[in-house]
Amino acid sequence: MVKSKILIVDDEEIMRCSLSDWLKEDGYDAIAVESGYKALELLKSENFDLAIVDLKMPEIDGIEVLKRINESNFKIPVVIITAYATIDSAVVAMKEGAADYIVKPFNPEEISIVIKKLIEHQKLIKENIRLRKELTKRFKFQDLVGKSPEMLKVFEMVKTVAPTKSTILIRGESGTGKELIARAIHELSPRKNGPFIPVACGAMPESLLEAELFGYEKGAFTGAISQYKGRIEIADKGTLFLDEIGDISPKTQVDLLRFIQEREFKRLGGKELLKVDIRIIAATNKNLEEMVKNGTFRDDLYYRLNVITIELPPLRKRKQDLPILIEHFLDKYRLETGKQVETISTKAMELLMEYDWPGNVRELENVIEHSVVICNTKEITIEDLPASIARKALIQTSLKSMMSLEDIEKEHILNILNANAWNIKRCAEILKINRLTLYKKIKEYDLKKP
Amino acid sequence: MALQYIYISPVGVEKIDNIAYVLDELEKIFLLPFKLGKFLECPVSAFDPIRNQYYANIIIQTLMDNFPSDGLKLVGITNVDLCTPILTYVFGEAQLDGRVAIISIHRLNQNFYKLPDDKELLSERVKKTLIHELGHCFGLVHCDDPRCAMFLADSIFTLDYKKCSFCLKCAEFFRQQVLQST
Repeated sequence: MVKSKILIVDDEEIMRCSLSDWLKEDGYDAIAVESGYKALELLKSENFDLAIVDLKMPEIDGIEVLKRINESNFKIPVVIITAYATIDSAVVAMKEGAADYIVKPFNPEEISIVIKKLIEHQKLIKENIRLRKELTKRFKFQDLVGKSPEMLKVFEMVKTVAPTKSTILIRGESGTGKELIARAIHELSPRKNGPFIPVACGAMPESLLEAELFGYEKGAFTGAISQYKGRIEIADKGTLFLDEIGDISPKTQVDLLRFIQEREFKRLGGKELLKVDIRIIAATNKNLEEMVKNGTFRDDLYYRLNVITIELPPLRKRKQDLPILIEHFLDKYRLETGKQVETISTKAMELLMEYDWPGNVRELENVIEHSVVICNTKEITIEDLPASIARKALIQTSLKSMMSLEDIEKEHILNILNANAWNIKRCAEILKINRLTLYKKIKEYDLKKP
Repeated sequence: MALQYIYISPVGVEKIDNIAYVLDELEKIFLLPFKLGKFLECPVSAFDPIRNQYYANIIIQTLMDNFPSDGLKLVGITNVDLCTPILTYVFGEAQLDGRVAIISIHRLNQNFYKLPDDKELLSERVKKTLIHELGHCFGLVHCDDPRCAMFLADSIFTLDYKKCSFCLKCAEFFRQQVLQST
């Protein structure tokens, strides 16, 4: 477990030692300095969760240290301590934003409650900041939309694996919602109160990714002006989501493998071995088996990651989900834009159903957002769709015009069957043929349920 | 390697009630040999006339100066009221991951709370405090489990609520530490 870090500022050595020993016994990481200047300097390079500052000190006193901390962006609570308590100094300290004002020597009961309360509060603030960031990304568990058998299978899998500790590999094309699945697993797991930390492995060069993952100590390399906690450390008690895992370099593969095996690591340039309790979820759109064969992805890392696999189907293979996905995104952007767009025209819907969606759900969401913004009526029409989509869909349709009558009939019957869950009576009514003819066509074209 | 003992030495107090029983009990918990150490004077320099208390950190220094050659750890038991520069009182004080600790029976005694003597309860409290401070000597920090001996006893009530044993997590950490230090 990563210890909370407390900064002690007191000019008396005996006080520094006594307080730091006591805090260490209480499981905190305590660092003591003898002056306000040293404290302010240290705060620039190291992260602390709390500062305990003596009121009377030479050079700059505790109130001045408190002021400067509050003016800076360190944002940590400050407890003012003093052996010379007066009402005036207590009022000034509280007015300047001290978290508490305690008289030395402390009553053990009082000080332990104050510190515990402030550390817990600080944790809540950090959690709140993290959640606000999450909210801005408009994360909703309900964003996982789908009623196709493929997606229902995925949802079942998510529910089954979420409470376990197992490492999970999510596979799927770009835009299929791999991160949403990872977030859903985290939210349904016992780690839901811990952080969910995503890392886009493919977006960073090797050295940057290593620093981002493992963190670094001050001076570890040129430009490392202060200690930096890596994503692995921040993810303690939560979930680390390694997106685009197939894009990491051979060296990072080795380092990651070592971490996954040992569950401990050192910050770059650091000596201290840090242990964390995290769950790893990785995702890729690459063919890892092929990469293992080619020797571009380590087989041992592959086996470590591939404990449980969740395959996300591309949107073109679950087109029956398109209407509810469209409805879902319409709701979302109707709320966001305040526009009264209520529906989508049949022709526009047909076009969207025809389209192959190479960018998957992400592309669909962008298309709906674009259409809602452009639309000036209550109904989205073909004119409101992005030109590129309308054009591609029309090309696909025109290509169909070169298909044989038999192929067109086969595809049309299959689409109707799939869209109506193979309800023969309903399909026969839509196709305006009798049920026996439909059975005959199914047999003739060797059509099968998905 | 020669056998090393955990010494329990009286500091400024001639007789400690039930000490033989306490040592037996501690041996069962720690699975290490305990021995009653020699009597030590309580250093005068530890006394603070303003607070009318003794600084635990100064007594710890005296214990360090008198550390037995065959000792693994040394814990002093005194009857004076202990404090530290930063705390108004302590039941005991230890060197974290060190060799020496001191505990006081002053605030463990029912008399301190204006209640009738209870020797059995006193022995329990002494045992819990010794386990706690020795735990610190073996590198253990405070535990979140209020029944664990390593839970911070910031009052006599929290001390009485604790058990005379480590929780599973602390027991395992202690086992690892003993393997390293013996």
